[in-house]
Amino acid sequence: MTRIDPETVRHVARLARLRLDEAEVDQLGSEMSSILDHFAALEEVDVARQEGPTPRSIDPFLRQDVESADQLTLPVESLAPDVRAGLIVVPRLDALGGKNGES
Amino acid sequence: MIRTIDEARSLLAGGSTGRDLLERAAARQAELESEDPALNAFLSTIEPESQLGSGQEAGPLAGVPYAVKDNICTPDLPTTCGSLILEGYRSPFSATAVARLDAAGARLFGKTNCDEFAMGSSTENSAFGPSRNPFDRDRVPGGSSGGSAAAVAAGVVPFALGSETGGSVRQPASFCGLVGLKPSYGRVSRYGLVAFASSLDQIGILTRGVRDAGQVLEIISGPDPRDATCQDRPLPRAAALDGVQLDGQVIGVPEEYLGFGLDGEVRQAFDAALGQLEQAGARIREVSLPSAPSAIPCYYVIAPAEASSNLARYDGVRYGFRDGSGAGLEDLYSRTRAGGFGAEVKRRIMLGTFALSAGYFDEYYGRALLVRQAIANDFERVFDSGVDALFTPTTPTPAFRLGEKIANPYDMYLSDVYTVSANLAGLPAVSVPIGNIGGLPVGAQFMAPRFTEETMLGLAVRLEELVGYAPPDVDGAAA
Amino acid sequence: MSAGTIGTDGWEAVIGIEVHVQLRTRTKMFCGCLAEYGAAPNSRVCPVCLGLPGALPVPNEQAVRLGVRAALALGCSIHANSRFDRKNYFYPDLPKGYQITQFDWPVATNGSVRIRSGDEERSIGVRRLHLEEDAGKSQHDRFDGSTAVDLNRAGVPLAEIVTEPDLRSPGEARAYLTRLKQLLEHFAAVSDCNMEEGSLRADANLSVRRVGSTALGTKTEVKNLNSFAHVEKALTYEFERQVAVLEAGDEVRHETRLYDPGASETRPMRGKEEATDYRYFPEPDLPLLEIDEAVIEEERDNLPELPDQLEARLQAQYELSEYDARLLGMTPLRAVYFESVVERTGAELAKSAANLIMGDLAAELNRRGANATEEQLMSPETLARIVSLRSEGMLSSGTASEALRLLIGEEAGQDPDDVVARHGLAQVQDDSQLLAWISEVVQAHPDESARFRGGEEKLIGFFMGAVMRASGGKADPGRTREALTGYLAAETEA
Repeated sequence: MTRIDPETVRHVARLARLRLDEAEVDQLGSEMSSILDHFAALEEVDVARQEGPTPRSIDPFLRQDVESADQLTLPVESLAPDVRAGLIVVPRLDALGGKNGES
Repeated sequence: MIRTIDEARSLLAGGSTGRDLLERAAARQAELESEDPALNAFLSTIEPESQLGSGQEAGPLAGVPYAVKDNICTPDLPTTCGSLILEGYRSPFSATAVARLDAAGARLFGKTNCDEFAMGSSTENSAFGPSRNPFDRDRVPGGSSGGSAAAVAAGVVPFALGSETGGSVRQPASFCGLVGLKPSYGRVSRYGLVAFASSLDQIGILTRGVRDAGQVLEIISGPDPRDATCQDRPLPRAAALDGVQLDGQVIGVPEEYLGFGLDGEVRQAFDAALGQLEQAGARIREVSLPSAPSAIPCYYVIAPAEASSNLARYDGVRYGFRDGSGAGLEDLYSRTRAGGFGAEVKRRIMLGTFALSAGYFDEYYGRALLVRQAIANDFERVFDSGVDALFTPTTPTPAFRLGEKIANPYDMYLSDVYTVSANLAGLPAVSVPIGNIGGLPVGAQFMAPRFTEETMLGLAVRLEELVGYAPPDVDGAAA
Repeated sequence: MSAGTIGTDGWEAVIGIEVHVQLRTRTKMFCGCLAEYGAAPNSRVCPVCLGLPGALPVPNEQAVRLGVRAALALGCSIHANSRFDRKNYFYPDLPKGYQITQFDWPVATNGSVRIRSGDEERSIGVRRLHLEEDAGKSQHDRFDGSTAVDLNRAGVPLAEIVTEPDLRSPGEARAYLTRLKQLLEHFAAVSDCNMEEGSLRADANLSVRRVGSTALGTKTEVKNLNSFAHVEKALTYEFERQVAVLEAGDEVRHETRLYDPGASETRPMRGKEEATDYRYFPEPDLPLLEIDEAVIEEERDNLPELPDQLEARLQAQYELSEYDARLLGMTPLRAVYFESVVERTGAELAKSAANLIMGDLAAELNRRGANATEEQLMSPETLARIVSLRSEGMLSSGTASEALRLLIGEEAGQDPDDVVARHGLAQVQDDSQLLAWISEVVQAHPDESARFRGGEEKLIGFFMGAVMRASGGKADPGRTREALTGYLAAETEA
């Protein structure tokens, strides 16, 4: 039996950037637990591990290095909620540095 | 009503213009929406008055109106995916399939309701209210392409595009007495189909008859430089379907598919259809797909995992809904996503994020990838043994009631039990109506080797002829 | 602050370097937007790189080829099947909420780069090279309390090159980066490697251990390294810091630190260190990346002779010093230029040709900036002629320089013999003219002449200079000295 405790739910919600209230944490915890119970069936299949990346049966396709005509026909302003001087603006990260620490 | 592409053509041949047909669709739509409860098949429709009346009526589908599921991009109408997070969002580009239909002369009438981001089996997960089954409005039309199914079944348009990730075209087709075609993975460009689970998604087609589905498929198929997974294979020709004979075809029936809570009456209808195929010369062979019981868990790991990543882009930064009421960027993200997504989408994002997260990846996502390979291998083994197509029920039951399964997510997931495997293995599949149970249609499906749509649809045409089912017109009063 | 001052004796640094280079393509990695630097904000964007609903990535063949070529230049094995994966994290300049990269199955692995470290050569292992897309650019200081995002860079193709932890000093780290840049910019020609524009970015990780130990200590990652000099300084600081921490009996924290060039120190990145979980998984929008043997061979053919081999050959074939060979082999263009000059002068004048290339021509190239080439200054034929004239004694080192200056500048493209003649640069070989200058000079300086005769022989230098001046530089110094000595001696006897 897989039990998803509230701590795990909160951790996953944090990774997924989903704000949950306590009632949602409890509900998702029990729903996820019961769904994961059904996933035990995955263990019942004989599977063969393989070397190299799992094949996908899709022919490779690469594009030529040429400019496409898919440029936006409308300015970013028409899509984004906050645009200033052509830049998309969001509140500053609480802590600087984020991904690369670079600006 | 416009039931079929041929009906549309004869109206056009009789002097109607493309705009007239759009007006006819609009009138039918208005009629359906005025009833209580409303069918709620469409989220947006074009205004026929704003459209060209004549001219540009060239191409194989010249003047034929159609509908598109609201998770497929159209610049002329919003693309919301049934979600608040994209409410009012208008795509600057056309999905390739839509562009090809437009080039073939077809006329977009409207965008159909669906489960939010195609996650669901009933259309109850739409942020804009559920669609209803035209044959019983207390029941669901199926999902996630429920709006497309309801629109075609009620005779608003002769065909509609839906999308399939785990059965979202076939299951509503079965519930609404329609043909529901899910092409091979890589047959139809996914460019402009808003991604749910990219390795499973495929645009599908809902029509009243197999030949109509074949015509639409021929037009929307083929490679696309904007989708690296779309394959360059000979196009499935609609004209070839009548050349396929049942005689000598080997049709496999997987024993595992006759379990999984299959309703007794559905079983009877299926057995009857199977008997007709056999009488008409098909050789029926019982086969085994031993990994089948793992298909639902496998699907409900892989699809949410991919979805958790595909839906990360809805963050309130570049487009769509933004809740900036909190302080700072992290708050903006988590409030936007909490407010913009509905319960089922959140559930799947949570499941998928969990399945990919450190410490659980191997047990869930990694394992599911291997099981998926085993499922595909099962099919390959069966087809290699000389089976031309598999034949199974499409759904274990006819349409269920609104609210019946919404409280138990896993019960809802099980309504995809017969359909998800074709998506996991990338196979083409088509559901064909085989009868009514208490006034509710039920369907059966063929699944076939990848890129053998011609043969598969040919078999479906024969079945359609043998069964002789036509969905009844909804509401006798309607024209 | 140098490595000696804090006392790292007995300790050794273990350093690994991660480099991102922007591949020199016309368009982005997965869409047809121009991969340009400096365009107006958010003007090089399309549905794909903006992450609009329904858009899909399609890999750029040229980016793949450049990645393969770069990997070949680093001696990597290229994998026939590799895979793109998604790296999931939220950041405003990451439009899709994931970066398309390669995780488990990179396009190439297991290469090496040879560097010089002091007197020895060392081979630095290259663990992997993989392809990925860049993120956009966030500006945190543009608007108060806000982050402003420009997505022009989002989706630009990158190769990430990761070393084994084989580097043993900050100096080696710098030597590795210098060699890597030389390989990628000039030999594989896959990137302009411009650090200011961000087309080459380096991150480093460093741990320390007692000399002789083979265990690995706790490492720190060091970021914000905007030049090779910063890499060396930051690592030097970090090396000393970690040694001091350990010698004080404390433990090194595993953390990411930012280099502050103003203070020449590294500091822990601000903010809580949240354990990152990127949830890598195979990119479902893309087929596997298959690389044909034919593509590998074509890209191999696109590579010139690589520096290690080139330098060794130049040194052996032309009897040059290792130093000269390294300078001449700095770029394939320079090596080709050198060899086509020497082809005309004969190998015996190689050193002389090398001196002019690394002297006068290099100085001029330096003035002209990054992209100037020797060939643009003058044809190899022209330089070869100057080298020959010099060796024949027709030009002195001074007049040779003057001839080169003219041929680079106002006389560009002219026949060198013509230029030498018109500007009167040829050294005078006619002894009667030489004697005329000498007698003129000696007679003009009777006092010095008398002192020389009295035994003050160092005055020969004075006379030499005066004769050279009188000749306008055209007197051959060797002949002049000989003739002058003879003339003065004859006067003495007389």
